[in-house]
Amino acid sequence: MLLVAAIAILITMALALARALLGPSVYDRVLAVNMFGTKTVLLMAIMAFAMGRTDFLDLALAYALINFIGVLAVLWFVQESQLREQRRAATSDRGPPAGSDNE
Amino acid sequence: MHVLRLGLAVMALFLVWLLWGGLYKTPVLQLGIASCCLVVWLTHRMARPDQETHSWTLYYRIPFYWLWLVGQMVISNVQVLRMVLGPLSALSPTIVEVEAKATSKFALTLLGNSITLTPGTLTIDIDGNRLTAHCLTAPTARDLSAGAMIRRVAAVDPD
Amino acid sequence: MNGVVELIAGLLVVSGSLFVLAGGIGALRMPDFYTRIHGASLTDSLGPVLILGGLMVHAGPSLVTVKLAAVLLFLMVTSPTASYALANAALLAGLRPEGVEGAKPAADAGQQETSP
Repeated sequence: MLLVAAIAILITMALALARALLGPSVYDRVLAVNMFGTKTVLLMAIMAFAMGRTDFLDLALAYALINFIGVLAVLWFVQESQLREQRRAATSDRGPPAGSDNE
Repeated sequence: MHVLRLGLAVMALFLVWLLWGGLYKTPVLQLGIASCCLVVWLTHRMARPDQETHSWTLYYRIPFYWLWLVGQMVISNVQVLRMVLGPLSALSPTIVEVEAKATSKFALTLLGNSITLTPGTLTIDIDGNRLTAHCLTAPTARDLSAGAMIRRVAAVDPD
Repeated sequence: MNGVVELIAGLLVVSGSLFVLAGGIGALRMPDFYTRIHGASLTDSLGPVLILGGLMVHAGPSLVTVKLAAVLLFLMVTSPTASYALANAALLAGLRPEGVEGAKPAADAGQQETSP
C-alpha cells in the first residue's frame, strides 16, 4: 500500500517536472517547483514508514520549511529582476541617461 | 509582563523540543534549553511584535473551525477532481471580490488561507479587508460570495 | 485488530495519493496559469491530510505521530501562503487570467502604463 502511494507521488513529481520544463511563464515553473517540493515532503514521510526509519520525518519537517522559504526567495528574485527590467525599459525610452547603470 | 511572555515562549518551545527529540539525557536537555533561549532571543531581536491581541477562546474555537474546513475541503476536492479529469470546457473561471467581516491580521490570514486551501477558489489579492479570489467555476464563486466561510472566520476571531 | 488498523491506514494513504496524482494531472492539463494553481492546490489540500493522517493511524499514539502532525500543520500553513504569494506576484506582474467572467481586479489594470 505504501509503495503504491510512493509510486503515485513519484509520477506526480514527474508531471510537475514536465510542467516546469513546459513553462510557459516563469510563474508556471515556480508553481511546478513548489509542487515538487511539497511532494518530496510527502514522499519522505511515506518512505520513512516503508523503510522503517522514522527519523526521516525530521528531514521532511525541515524540507517543508526550506521549500517554503525557497519559493518565496525565488519569487522575490523574479519580482526584483522584473522591476529592474521595467526601470531599464522606462529609462531607455527617454534615451540613454547618464549613470543609468548605477542604480 | 514582558519577561513573563518571553519565559512562556521559551517554555512552549522547550515542550515542542521535548516532543520532537525523544532523546532525554542531561547534556542534550541543556543544549535544548540553550537553543530555545537562542531562538527566542533571535526572534525578539528580529520581529517587532504585532499589537494585536486575541482572546484565549481563540484556541478552542480554532479546532472546530479546522474540522469544518476539512469537511469543506473534502467536498471541493471531489468537485475539482472531477473537473480536472473531465472535459476542460466545463471550466468557467470567475473572479469575485469578497469583503471580510473580521479585520484583524489573523482573521484575514485565516480567511485568505482557507480560501486558497479549498481547491477551486484561490486568493489572488488582499487589499484592506477586500479579498479578490479566482474561482475555477461560476458556482464555486457563488458559494464563496454567499459567505459561509467569511461568517465562520468572523466567529472564530471577532473584532 | 492490527490488520484492520493497517488496512484503514493503507486505504487513507492510497486515496490521498490518488488526489495528489489527480492534482499533478491537473497542473499539467489546465489551460492557463491561474487554473493550474487550482490543479496544484488539489495536491496541497486533501492529499497531505489523507496521506499524513493515514501514516498517523499507522504509527499509533507515539512521538512519531506528533512529528507527523507537525509536518501536516506546517504544510497546511505554508502551502496556501506560497500559492497566494505566487498568484499575487503573477497578478502584479500583469499576467491576466484567461476567459474570466466578472469584474477585472483593480491591481492588474494599467500595469504597463504606470511605469515612470
